[in-house]
Amino acid sequence: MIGRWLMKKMIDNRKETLRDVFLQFQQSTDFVIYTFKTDERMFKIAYFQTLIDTDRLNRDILPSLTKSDCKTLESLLTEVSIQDKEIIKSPKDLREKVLQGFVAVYEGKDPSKCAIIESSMDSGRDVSPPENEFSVAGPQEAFIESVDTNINLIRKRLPLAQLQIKEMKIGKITQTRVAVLYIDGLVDKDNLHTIEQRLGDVEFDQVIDSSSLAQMISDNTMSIFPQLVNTERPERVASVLAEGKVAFLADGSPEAVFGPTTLVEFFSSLEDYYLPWQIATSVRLLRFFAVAFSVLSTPLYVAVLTFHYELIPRDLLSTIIASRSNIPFPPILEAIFLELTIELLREAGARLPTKVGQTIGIVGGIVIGQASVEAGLTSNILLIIVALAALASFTTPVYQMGNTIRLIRFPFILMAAFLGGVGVAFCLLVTIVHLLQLTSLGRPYMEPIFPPRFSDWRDAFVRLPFNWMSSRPVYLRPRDKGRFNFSRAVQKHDIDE
Amino acid sequence: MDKPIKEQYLVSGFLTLFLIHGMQVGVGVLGFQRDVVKVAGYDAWISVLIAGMVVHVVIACMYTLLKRVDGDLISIHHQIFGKWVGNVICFFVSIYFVAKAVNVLRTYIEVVQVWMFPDLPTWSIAIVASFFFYYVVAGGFRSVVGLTFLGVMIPVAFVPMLLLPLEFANFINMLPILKHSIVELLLGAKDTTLSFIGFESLLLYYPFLKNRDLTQKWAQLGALITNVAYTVIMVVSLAFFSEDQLNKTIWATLTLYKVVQLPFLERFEYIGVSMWMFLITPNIALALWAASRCAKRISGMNQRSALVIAIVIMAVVIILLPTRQEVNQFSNWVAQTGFYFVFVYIPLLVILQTIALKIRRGKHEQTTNL
Amino acid sequence: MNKRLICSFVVLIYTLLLTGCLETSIVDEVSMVRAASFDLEEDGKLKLTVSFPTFPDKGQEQTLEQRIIEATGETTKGTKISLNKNAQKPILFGQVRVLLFSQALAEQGVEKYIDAMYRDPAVGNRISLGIVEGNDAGALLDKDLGIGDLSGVFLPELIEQNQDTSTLPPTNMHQFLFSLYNDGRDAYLPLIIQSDDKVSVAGTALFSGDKFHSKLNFEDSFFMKLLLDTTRQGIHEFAIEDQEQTSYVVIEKLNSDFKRKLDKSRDVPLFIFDVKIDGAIEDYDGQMNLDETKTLNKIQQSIENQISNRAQELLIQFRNEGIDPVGIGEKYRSTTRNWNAEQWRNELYPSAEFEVNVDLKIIQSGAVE
Repeated sequence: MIGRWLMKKMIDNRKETLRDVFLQFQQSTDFVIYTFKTDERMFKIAYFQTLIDTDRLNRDILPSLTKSDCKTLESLLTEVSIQDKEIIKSPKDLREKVLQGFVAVYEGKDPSKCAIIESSMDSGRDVSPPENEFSVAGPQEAFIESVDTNINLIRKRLPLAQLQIKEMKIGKITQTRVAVLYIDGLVDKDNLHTIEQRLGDVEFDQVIDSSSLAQMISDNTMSIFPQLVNTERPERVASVLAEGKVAFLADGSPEAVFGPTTLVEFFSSLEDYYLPWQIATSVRLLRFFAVAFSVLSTPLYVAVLTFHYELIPRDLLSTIIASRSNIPFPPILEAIFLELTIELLREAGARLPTKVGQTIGIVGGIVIGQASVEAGLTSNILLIIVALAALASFTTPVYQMGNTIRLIRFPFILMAAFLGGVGVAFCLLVTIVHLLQLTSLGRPYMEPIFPPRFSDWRDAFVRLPFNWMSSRPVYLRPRDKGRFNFSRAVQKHDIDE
Repeated sequence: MDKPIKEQYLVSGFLTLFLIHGMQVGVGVLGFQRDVVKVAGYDAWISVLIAGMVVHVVIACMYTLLKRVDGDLISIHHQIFGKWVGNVICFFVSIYFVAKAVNVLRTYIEVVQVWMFPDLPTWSIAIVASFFFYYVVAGGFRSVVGLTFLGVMIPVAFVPMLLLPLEFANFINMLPILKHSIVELLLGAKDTTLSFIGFESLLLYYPFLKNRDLTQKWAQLGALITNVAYTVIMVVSLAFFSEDQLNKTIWATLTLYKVVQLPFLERFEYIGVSMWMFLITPNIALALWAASRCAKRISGMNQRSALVIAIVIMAVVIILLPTRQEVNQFSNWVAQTGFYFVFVYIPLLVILQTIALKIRRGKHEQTTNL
Repeated sequence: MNKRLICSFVVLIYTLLLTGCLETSIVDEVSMVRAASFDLEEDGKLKLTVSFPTFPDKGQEQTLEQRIIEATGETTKGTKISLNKNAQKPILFGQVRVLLFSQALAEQGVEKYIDAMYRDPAVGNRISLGIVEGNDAGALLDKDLGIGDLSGVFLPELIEQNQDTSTLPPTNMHQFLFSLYNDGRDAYLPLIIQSDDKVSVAGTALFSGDKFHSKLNFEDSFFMKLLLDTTRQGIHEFAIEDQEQTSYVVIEKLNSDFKRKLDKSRDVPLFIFDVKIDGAIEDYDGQMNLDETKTLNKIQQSIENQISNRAQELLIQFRNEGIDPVGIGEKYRSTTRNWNAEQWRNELYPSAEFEVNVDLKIIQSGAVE
């Protein structure tokens, strides 16, 4: 409905005048027009009172209006001490600017031109510490909803002329400002063109957040795996731009999206670069182990207990049978029941206010878990496994990937119940084949595993010391490959030199 | 006449190593010991080495053929036999690859049925596998190569497991060396055919390799890794089993895994059978890819449709092989065909190609002289 | 792209629907046999007795109890099936740890029973086998051992413990079959005896082919082990005869290694065993001072002689009885190109001669003087 109405309006635009715009605006009650009349002239001032900052209006604009020596709009503009101001003639520009919080000043009933002065109300919040991607070390700044502030946060970190920004408007209704950022001379032109073209082709009417935009421009929109990374940390964006990636920001969204990316990048956190490389490497390996554990532990439990009782070590056998002897359900129902409970707790915890959420998590986790074991609905071994698997799935630094991992366990569990170990292996195989076929902005998703690029392994499953990372990742095809001169970095000195 | 493959579909030359090795190691390795030992006794490992060396020679032959024509098997056949005869022969090659896929998949289903699920219906797995392989092969050659690469890299973790049975090794079994005659050793080598063939798909994917002239070293290295792996498995089996015991053991490699005991795992072979899927899927996927590619090249049909036909044939044949005897019969048939195709026909092709080139050059010279 | 994903989705759904009817073996809904015994009934039928743990459903205390079920039949497979007739949950053999055979049954041959187990992929390869003296191995499973442990746990651990601490020659199902199907070696199994209130390992049961042949006592089993396997961290007591008084010395941390050599230069094959042992004296009740090199040498000499004499006697005994548990034939086979098992058994082996050289090193003589 709205779309069609807008379309109609847009066709009408050709012959519409500035006056029509004002008439249209006047249908809203928060649009006001005042008249300032002196002897020689009559200025009218029009604005949305909900969009502008009244203090600035009173302080900077109104005094100039009442001054008698301002006779024309041009002379008015020279008086006003606000930077963003101009004379416009097109109704389209007028509509756009007034909706952004500009004050319009014009003469007469049916003006041919109009002065607009920026006076928008800044209702955004201040830059605050990151919440989703919290890290102990490193900068404590996160993006906010204003794209200009966000670009400012990045520019401060990359004071380069080559950091270039291309802006576009996406969404027929929302007209969201989207800024594409890249470092000229580093970025691969193909990647940049891909992302620009895809953003330009988006025809969805509303863009609420950059993450929804990221989904629309993914290579394979049917895949459960995220193919672009969302982040709320400006220094992460700065760091990937310096590697030669492309990022974009959407106005109103406190997250930047960048690509191309690979599967392993989702498991690397920026903190890995703040910690010594030995620790960072161990933590990264721990994360990969956590993913494997999270995805495979419950399915393997189900598979072993349903089909492959031969596998159970003799010393564990009594424990396992004893813990299951009172359970009326087959392992699959038991596992699904517990997994769903955990997911419920997690979802409820996310929806509730932080403090209540924590309480729910603890109380729900302990009470429900304990009670279901005592009631004989689940075995305590499974409870341990499921709780550990849930814990492990939280170690993934990127939220989107964490969700993916939460979800892909369920097909694994079902297949384990139907085909045992063969089912789990089959699911693993299907997942791997799917990952092999995925691309991110046309670059292989499984890199550096496949295609095998061993030079990229330095910063994949492990994080080697910085002086070994003398070149940028190969898969980005950066136009300038070297980070620093390796031969100088590794110059050998004799003992007594 | 043959249009070159687009740059973006080419794969790195060194992946030839994985393509050769991954295609060779499949379901044959689960139980090749018995067949060889029946003929060559406890000198079976020498037979394996002999077969391995012949593989190196055949790979060299294939590179000779391919380099001369800089195309694939179809170009070679066209060059030697002309269009019509060449196409007919290639049609049989295509069928051969489908048969190979059938053999691998059906044998794997057989292993799963014996080892884990006696009541698993063959046809259901056949249908599920058909969908899966369509998904894999329709992803293109790169997808198949990726699967092959990971299908080699992931099971590498199981190689050390094969050394654990050495706890019960009795190497004296193998002494004295060379108790058997050369003829017996060669016959034993022939019986390893089923485990070694598969690398002949190189004849079809050769145009998809980057710097293809330089890939021979990788191909030879891949075959070498296979040879070493097979010889090690054979030596371990010979040291582990006594002769009559080995003759009673159908899947000797799996029985080897049976004694592997880890603190958290009482029996390893169940994991082994499940994860063996990672070894066999590249086999089947590459065979299906080769079959459909071959069909596309001879008939000009869409490779996707050729793939669907190949997969349907595969599924139907698998469902038509319900019992162990029929599976064995089919395996023997594939092994025989494979033996004559790979170890007899390909070297023969080199000679035929040389003659064909000579004649053509002769004709050319005649025409220029005139 | 869409089509492909839908396809893979169909695959998953399809599998679920199609294979949903596979037979399951959920751990608490099956009876997992831990120990099984084979007996011969008077009418020549096979009696199979199995022991498996059960869990009484009532109450929170999850205690294990044991149930014994027996069935008779003609074949192993058939008897296994008829076991289910009086079982509450299906009987499965995937967790079996020990198979026991009564001596009476073993005298008739055990191959068909063990082979049936070997063919079953669910049964492990490392399981222990044992021969029970008498004709009622089933009674052993039912015995109240009075130690709180179930026979299914106690018996395999009893056998393994004695093999690990190196008093019994090691064997398990794989090694038994290895020897059984080997033309240069005969099999052996641990021998278990039961008395009114206890079960103990008594030595080794020697086989000729798949039939029980004779027993070897505990002491001799140790000497046999020295000839066919390396020992790690073993412990053994030796008697020292010295001027008409007998003292005892215990050697611990006993490590041994052996080499077999074959001398074919003479008209009969001569097998030379070089056994190297090192160990530490832990306990000595004699009067001599161990600090003196002379005494130590004397003890060493005495033990060396003891081992080599007894080992040689054993080898000759085996030869005379026509059995070969230490694998003499295997050694001979490894040096000959025209191996003929028949000829070996009938002509060469009965004429073989043996020599055992023992080299004992006592590396340390206790922490207390």
